[in-house]
Amino acid sequence: MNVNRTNSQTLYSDFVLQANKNLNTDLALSVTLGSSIQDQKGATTNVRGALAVPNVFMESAIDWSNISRAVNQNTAVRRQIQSVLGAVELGYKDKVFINLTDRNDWSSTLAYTPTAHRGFNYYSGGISAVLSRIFNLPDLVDYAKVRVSYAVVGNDIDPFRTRPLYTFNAGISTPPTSTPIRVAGYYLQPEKNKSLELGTQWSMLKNRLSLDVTVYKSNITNQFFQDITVAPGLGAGTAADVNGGNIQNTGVEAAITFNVVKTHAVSWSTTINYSYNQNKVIELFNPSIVATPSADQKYALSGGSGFLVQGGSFGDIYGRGFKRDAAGHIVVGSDNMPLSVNNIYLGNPNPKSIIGWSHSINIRDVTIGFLLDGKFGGKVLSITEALMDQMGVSKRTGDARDNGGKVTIPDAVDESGKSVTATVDAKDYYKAIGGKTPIAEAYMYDATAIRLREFSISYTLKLNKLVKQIHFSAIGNNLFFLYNKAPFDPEQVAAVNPGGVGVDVFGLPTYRSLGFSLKATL
Amino acid sequence: MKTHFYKSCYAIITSMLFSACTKNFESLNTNPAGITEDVFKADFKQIILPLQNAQKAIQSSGSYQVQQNLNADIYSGFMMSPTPFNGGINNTNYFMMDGWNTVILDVAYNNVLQVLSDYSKLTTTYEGVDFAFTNAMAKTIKVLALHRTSDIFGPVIYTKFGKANADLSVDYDSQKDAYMAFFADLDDAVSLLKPFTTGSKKVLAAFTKADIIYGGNAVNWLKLVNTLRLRLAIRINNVDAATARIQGEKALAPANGGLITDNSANALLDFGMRHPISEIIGWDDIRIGAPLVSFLTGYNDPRLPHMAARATDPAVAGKYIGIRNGVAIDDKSRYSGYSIPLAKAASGDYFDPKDGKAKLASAAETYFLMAEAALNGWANAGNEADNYNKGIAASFEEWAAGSSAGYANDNTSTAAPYVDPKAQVAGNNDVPVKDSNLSTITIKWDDAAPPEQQLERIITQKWIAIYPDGQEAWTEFRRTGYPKLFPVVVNNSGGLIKKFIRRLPIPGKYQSNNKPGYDRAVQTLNGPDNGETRLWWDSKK
Repeated sequence: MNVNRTNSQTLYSDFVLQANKNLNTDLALSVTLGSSIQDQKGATTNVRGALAVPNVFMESAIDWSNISRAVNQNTAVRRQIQSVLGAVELGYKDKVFINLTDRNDWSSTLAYTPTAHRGFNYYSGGISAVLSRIFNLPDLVDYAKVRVSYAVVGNDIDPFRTRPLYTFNAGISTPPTSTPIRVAGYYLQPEKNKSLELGTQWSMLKNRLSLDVTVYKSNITNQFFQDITVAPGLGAGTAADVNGGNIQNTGVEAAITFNVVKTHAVSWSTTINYSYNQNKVIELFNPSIVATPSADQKYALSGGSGFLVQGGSFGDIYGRGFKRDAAGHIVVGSDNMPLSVNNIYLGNPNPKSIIGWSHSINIRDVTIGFLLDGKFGGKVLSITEALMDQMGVSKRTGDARDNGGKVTIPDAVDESGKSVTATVDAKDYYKAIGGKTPIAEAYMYDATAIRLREFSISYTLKLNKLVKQIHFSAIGNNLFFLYNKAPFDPEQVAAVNPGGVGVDVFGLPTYRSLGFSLKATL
Repeated sequence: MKTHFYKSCYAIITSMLFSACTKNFESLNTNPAGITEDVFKADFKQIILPLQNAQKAIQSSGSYQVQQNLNADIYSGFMMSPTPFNGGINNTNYFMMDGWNTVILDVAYNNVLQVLSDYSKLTTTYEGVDFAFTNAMAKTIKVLALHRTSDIFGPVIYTKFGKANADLSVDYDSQKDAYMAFFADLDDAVSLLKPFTTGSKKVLAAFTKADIIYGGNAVNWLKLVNTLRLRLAIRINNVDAATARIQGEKALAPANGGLITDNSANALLDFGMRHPISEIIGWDDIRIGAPLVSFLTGYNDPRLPHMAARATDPAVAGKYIGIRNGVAIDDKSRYSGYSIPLAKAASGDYFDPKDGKAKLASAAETYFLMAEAALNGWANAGNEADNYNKGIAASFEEWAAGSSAGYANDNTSTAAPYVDPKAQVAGNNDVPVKDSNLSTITIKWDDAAPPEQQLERIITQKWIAIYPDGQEAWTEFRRTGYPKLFPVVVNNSGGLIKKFIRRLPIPGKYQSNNKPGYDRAVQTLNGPDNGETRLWWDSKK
């Protein structure tokens, strides 16, 4: 039995002064000054344990001598953020706009560090120019704009991390599960995300074609990581909170919309969205933690197979792989079973690029819309398959049974490097490579997936009587895959913990949804 | 005018907000579910609770199954699991379960060393308090817990715990260095404890609560320190006889406070709740081991009913029968009806479902250590026969098994052959008479026997006596080769482990988070980081 009682509360208040003034006929100035305060509270009490008598689900009936009992009180959130902010916008003849903002936050979560009192400041500056108003562009261009901006966004950290305390579980005191990394002089700092963006927006052919492209580079410094695994004694034992060093994202986002047909009775518009992102851990930790990190250290993110590695990408999956010789052949032991090695790079779960292609077709009173969606690149891990292999209930174990119950490891070599014919009993093979902690390399799948994400059709019946119109529509989401090589929907693994992204352990499958609606307008 | 009003209003509000407001940030960012230092300080709670937690972590309630039960308790021959974990491929048949074995180190580092390091820091918040007794406890607990960890893996982070190198790695102590550090910590513990045993200092009443082994009895702590020192000295005798003798004789010297020679001084850790093995039995995840029953039945040992229950499986109902190590198991039900491990001692049931105890050192063990010390010719060790017979007697007393006189005089009985009527492949698990894996050692001491046979006799009886602590039993088996145990039937080590597992490999977590430290640690091993490589003290061929 497991009881959770949760309550939470957020109070928000702000005070904003805004002034708009035309300095002269050409220059318009807008100034905003403000302050805000945000106060969050949230607490959970969890009581669980085995029942003293079957089917008596009462907290008072929990068997207290059973080790699995627990009473935990958690304060999930306690945070107050106070801010002052200011923004200036200067517009010249509606052609050129300059934006400047500045903001200072003070967050309670940074108490016990020098940042508590000085707060953290962040700002942005941007300039945009409406080219179509500045220059005389050809007639086919309706609107053109370029923009460039540089922004810094600050973020506080999670509550209570700066003051780890003993807590209780069912009356037994438990030490803190994590502490700021124990490096002399180090304290937890607010996150900072600096991003530079260049963008342009075009409308052409009487607004039938529009294009919006952004390229960006962002560098997140001091990203907050809690409970990462460090060497013994550098945190609460092996778990520590740290600020990341410099994690860089560079990428492109583009959207193009074209109204292919545009008549009174029939219209068809289509949009392609494209994005590409590259993530790189340029600097592992804040330099005050370690100036020269060792390239072969891997720091496990909380809750799974994801790791932080200098030079890698966020969320890289490491795990057990086949032992291989220099030429890449699988090394088998004297029983012909594959040997394994720990901590091999297996892939990164995040897609490299995402393409969405949507259509909206309107024929008189009927509207049809659909969205094709493709995510390309990335690798995911299926522990589900590994467990099913071990139990002999997966398709491939079935195939192996049909093929005589034997598995031959291709190009196997023994430990001395001599090539051997490694034919083993399929049952032994899958029991050995599968399971809860499998040779994960064998269970990595390409995360590339293309699907029909949405299809909708609607019809409006105009009556112009007592009931003016009736609107029918049907909509389906996540309808089917056109391409998917993973044994599960790679999107379904939206793990709570950063280390669990891209890992499926009997996750609830994503579902297809179908909906119908009927609307009458009086 | 209007803007003026707003401006002043803004100024007032912002000044109200920001001149005073970060003041309560500290209380806002203090977890209401946590125990703050000022509260925790009262009644020495912040001293007592961490010390209790560190003691409990030696055999951790919540983690015991993977900390010890699914490795040493089985490798010692004391027990075996009827559960085919991981599809029947797991630690019990030498397929190393990385996730399980990680927990052994998690407990050692997070729940012992970290907690004791916190304890040390917390003592500095009190003024004018003498922490000599609790400091001695802390040192002893550290050695008690970490020598076990080192005896599993070899190199261990002990003296360098929490000391980061420039690249954030932490260095290991080689097993040899760790043992030297253990001896040094025991030296400190002795000098801290002595004033309490001579009466020149008294243990503060509050601190007696911190001690869940002896309830604040410093005389017994000193005895534990000495028995522990003798244990570690004997352990390294094959590899470093000179240090072994110095340390062993130090432990034996009566001036140093004596050893645990009476069951009343046995180190029994009070869980204050259900013994973890009792819980694991309830999950049908552990049963008695075939070798233990083979010795106890073969010797007509009256301790048998105190250590094992009669089987309930119809095929063997009413008999005492254990499961052999590493046998093929298709389903839990195959062996869950075999004998359940018991621990019904004179002082109470160690596996009590309400008030379990972990036996960490005993009078019987001490006498067997002394018997070996006598074999080595160490000063103050007494003679072999005497110690041997006293060891048996102490064990009989501990287990409420009556007089041991007749038993100790038996010079014919030997371990019983093992027949497993429920083997998946009939006959595969049996160890018949004359099998090279079936012990032939008898009980009665023989002064004329060659030293090797005397050693076998001592260790075989010691092995029975230290039940149910599989950790020490497995360690002593590896050091001496005794008693004769049954090798695994199924070996899933890929041919790596030849006969008996010698150690556990350092789990992946401790390789990745500390690669440079790990790489240097592996250099101190006698071979690759796997289950076949022998530890430093495991030098007997």
